[in-house]
Amino acid sequence: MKLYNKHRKVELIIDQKLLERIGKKGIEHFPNEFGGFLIGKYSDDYKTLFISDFILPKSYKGSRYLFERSSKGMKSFFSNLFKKKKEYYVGEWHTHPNGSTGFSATDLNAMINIESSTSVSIKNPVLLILSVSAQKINQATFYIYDKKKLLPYE
Amino acid sequence: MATNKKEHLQNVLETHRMKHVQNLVDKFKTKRNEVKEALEAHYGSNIYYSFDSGSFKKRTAINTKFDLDVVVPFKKDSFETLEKMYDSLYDFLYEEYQDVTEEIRKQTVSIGLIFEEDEDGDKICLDIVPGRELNQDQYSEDNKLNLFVYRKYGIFSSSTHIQTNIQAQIDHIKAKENERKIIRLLKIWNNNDGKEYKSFLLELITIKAFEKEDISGNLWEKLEKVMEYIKDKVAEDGFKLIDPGNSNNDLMDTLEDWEKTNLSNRMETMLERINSNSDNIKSYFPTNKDFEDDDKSSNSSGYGIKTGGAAYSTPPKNERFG
Amino acid sequence: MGFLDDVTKLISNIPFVEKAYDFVEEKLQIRGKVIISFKELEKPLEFEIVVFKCYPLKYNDADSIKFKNSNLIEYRHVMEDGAICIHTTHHTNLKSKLNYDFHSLRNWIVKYYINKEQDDHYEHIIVDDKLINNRYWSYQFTDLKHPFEKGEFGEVSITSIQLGTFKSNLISNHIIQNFIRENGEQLECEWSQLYKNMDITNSGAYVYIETPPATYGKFIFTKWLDLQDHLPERFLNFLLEFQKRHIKHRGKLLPLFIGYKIDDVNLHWQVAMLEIGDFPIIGYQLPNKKWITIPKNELDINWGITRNTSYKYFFGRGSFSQSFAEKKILIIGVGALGSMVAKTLTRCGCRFIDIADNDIKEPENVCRSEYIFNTGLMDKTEELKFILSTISPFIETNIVDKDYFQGIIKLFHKEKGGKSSFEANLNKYDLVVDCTTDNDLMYILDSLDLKCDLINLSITNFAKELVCAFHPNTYNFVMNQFMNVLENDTSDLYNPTGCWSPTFKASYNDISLLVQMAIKHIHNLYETGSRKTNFIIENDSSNLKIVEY
Repeated sequence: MKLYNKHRKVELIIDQKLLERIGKKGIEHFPNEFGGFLIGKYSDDYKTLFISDFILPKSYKGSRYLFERSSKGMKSFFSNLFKKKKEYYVGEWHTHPNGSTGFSATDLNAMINIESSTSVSIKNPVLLILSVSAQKINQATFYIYDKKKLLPYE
Repeated sequence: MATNKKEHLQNVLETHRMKHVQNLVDKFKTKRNEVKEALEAHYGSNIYYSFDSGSFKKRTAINTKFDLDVVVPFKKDSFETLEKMYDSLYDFLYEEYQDVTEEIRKQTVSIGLIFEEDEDGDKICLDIVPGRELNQDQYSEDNKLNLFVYRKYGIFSSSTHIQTNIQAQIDHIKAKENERKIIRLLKIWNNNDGKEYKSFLLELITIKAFEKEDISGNLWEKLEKVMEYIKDKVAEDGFKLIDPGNSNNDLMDTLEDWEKTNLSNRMETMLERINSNSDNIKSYFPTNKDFEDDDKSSNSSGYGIKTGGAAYSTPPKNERFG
Repeated sequence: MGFLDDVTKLISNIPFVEKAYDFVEEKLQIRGKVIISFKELEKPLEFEIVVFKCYPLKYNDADSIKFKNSNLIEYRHVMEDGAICIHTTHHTNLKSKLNYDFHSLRNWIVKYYINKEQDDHYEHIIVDDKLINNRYWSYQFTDLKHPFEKGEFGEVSITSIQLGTFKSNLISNHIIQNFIRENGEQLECEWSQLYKNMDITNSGAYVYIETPPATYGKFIFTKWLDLQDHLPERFLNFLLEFQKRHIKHRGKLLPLFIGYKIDDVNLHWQVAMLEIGDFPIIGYQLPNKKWITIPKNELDINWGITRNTSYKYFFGRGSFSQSFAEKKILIIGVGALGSMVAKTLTRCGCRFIDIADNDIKEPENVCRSEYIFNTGLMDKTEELKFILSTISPFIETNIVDKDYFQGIIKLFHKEKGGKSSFEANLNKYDLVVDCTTDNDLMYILDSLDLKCDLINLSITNFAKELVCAFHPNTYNFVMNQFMNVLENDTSDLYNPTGCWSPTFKASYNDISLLVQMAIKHIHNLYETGSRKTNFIIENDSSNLKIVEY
């Protein structure tokens, strides 16, 4: 599946099966929110992002309307990932059970914090929001973060 | 937050490049050509081809403040006196352009044309420098010109005319890429800090610093060494800056003693402030904000990577989504 | 030994005291006589001496030792009762103080009695403040452009200012607006326009007699008899006519100003209070049918209070240099900083300060600005103009159109001719001070080609630093200071009620400390003709440091 963001003129490529696997994890936690990290790499010209995998946080709190994940204890995981596969952290994902795929103010704030964090060296992390019900994925939207804004891919 | 001085200065130079104001430059050039043609039509064979001088020609222009200089070389027998030449040119320009200019003014050795603002709010300024060849029919070979001195000032205070070689002045800076960068930086500083010093003076002193000292390293290191040189030398007795157009002219004579001390003190203060906090470099050498890209990597397309960041990212500890 | 013995003995031991005698102790003082004799003095001088028991301390700020000789009153620095005014100093030791005071007396004798020296400064006539009709009356005058001629007289226009309490009694305070000569010519006192425009509330009369109305040049005349040689007959006729015209105000007081020269350029006025219907003059017909007016010589003169409030005296104790004070100044933005700058400059003698601001003074502005509570809500400019006028009667303040800097300049700076029109408007001033902390405005002002000086003042949160920048190097410098160099902590700002933008936190003490230092430094730059280099004042745990850029 290939998506395009007009704002920064970039592509995002993700395998449909991967997206379904992510969705499945979300459905398992229905009706609570759930989520984690997205892993991938950029093309040499930084115009394309390939999402290759997702990770579940080691610790998290999920409720009907809120999901808090922690990256505690995962530093070595990210460094190993880069050393072995030259893949890295590229963004976040979480579910909105029975909700829309629109982002909330909390979501935007989280992304602002992530980008401004010194341990993060990418300027345009992506955010995937999945609308899920008890049985299936209703919809999935990818956003690119840029200068305090979240802009959807088409 | 520390500033990378070298990168900052590169950005300063980049944002002050003339290409950012190409439209305006084109307007200047069009207007300049108009004036040149009018002069050639009016004076015919009494003049040689007029040519451009000044910062454009020397490629030391900055886009925040510039004008275009045109030198008009007259033949020796065209006028009895230099004053008549100067007045004739003034009268002609006045007749021709009084309706479309805000001001036509007699300057030290030139006549300044300030055209009325156009619909974009741009004001075009041209400086026309009349000169008479030193010896009949010799100009094409020796480039020597006599200029009329309208306003007595500085080195010009004692005489009514001045001999110079504008071509030699232009040649003096030719192929001096490093010097030009420093000159442009110093002009940007001067333009931002009270416009107290003549560009020509900053130009000559920079070239001299490169000749006398080992000016090397990155852009900041070069600038720093030139500034050190100015600080150390400019107030010294016997320090001279010889005009490449006329070895009898010493540009240092245009400065009073207190102005020399002032310039030396400026350099000292600036070096002190910049070295105590690198962010201060931005106070003295600002970028031209009109043409600034926030950062190379946050160009409007592509995925951005922070400069100087780690190769991979670790997400921050706790983030809440809702 | 008691105080009496101590004093007598110590005085007797002073070398030039030939004799100390007749010393007696009274309830609050001791009293005696001394004979002073030394080489330069032809004949010994006798003084009556009074020493209060608090001596060597002062009593009510007055000297507690007096030397009197009523034969000496024509000499300089001698009071009407013959007491000599000597320079004294603080001592707590009886012997030292006596020695010092007797030496002062000796110095007075040498300087004024033997050498008959004149002082450089004029010794003003001593007039005791007197209750007239149960209150005090004061009149302030200031410089005029025109000189007076001896014997000229006319009417005076007066404006009453505050009623108040003075020495525990009521006082009516006034300023003189103008002197109207016989030919109708008005000589205006040079108050600021605001004072000149105040209503005339009272009239008076004046006569210029040129010499001081005083005996020995220092004791003011007490009876009309003393004045009779100084008052031209035509003036007395005028006074009689004046009384007739105002007779419906019978019983009211009318001030008569008597003017005289105190040196080559300065003059002074004393005021005699006359009661309408009871002027101290009488008109009667001579046998040749001619009417004449003569003063009632036997009556006492009731002197009121006058003060010379010329610019020179008003700012005599300390002001900025004349060249700075005469600058035409515009202050844009009169919040905390701007109001302090305006008020300080006014107190330092500046005469022309225009102000611009479109903001309203709210009660919460008062605590750290120069604004006051009891005016309620008010345009800042209107209130500041009022406050400045209450400080100085010489300050001219115009309010610049309230939208000019916040609105008009921003809307039109890109328009054709916009900038040159702003430049022309600002170039009417010698000095423009931008205290708005409005970055947009600073950006535009920075781009102008100004002939006038422009200073940008701002402070960081908690008043940790004050940033001062001089045109044409304002915008870039100030922005870089705030954004990169200084640690301006904006995470903790004060949020007033309502949704306007938050403001920095700092007290009046924090801000005014920095403002005063900045103004001192700026004034100094002008005085010394130094290069106007941008600077920061760092307030680092009570140490203020100026860092020049």
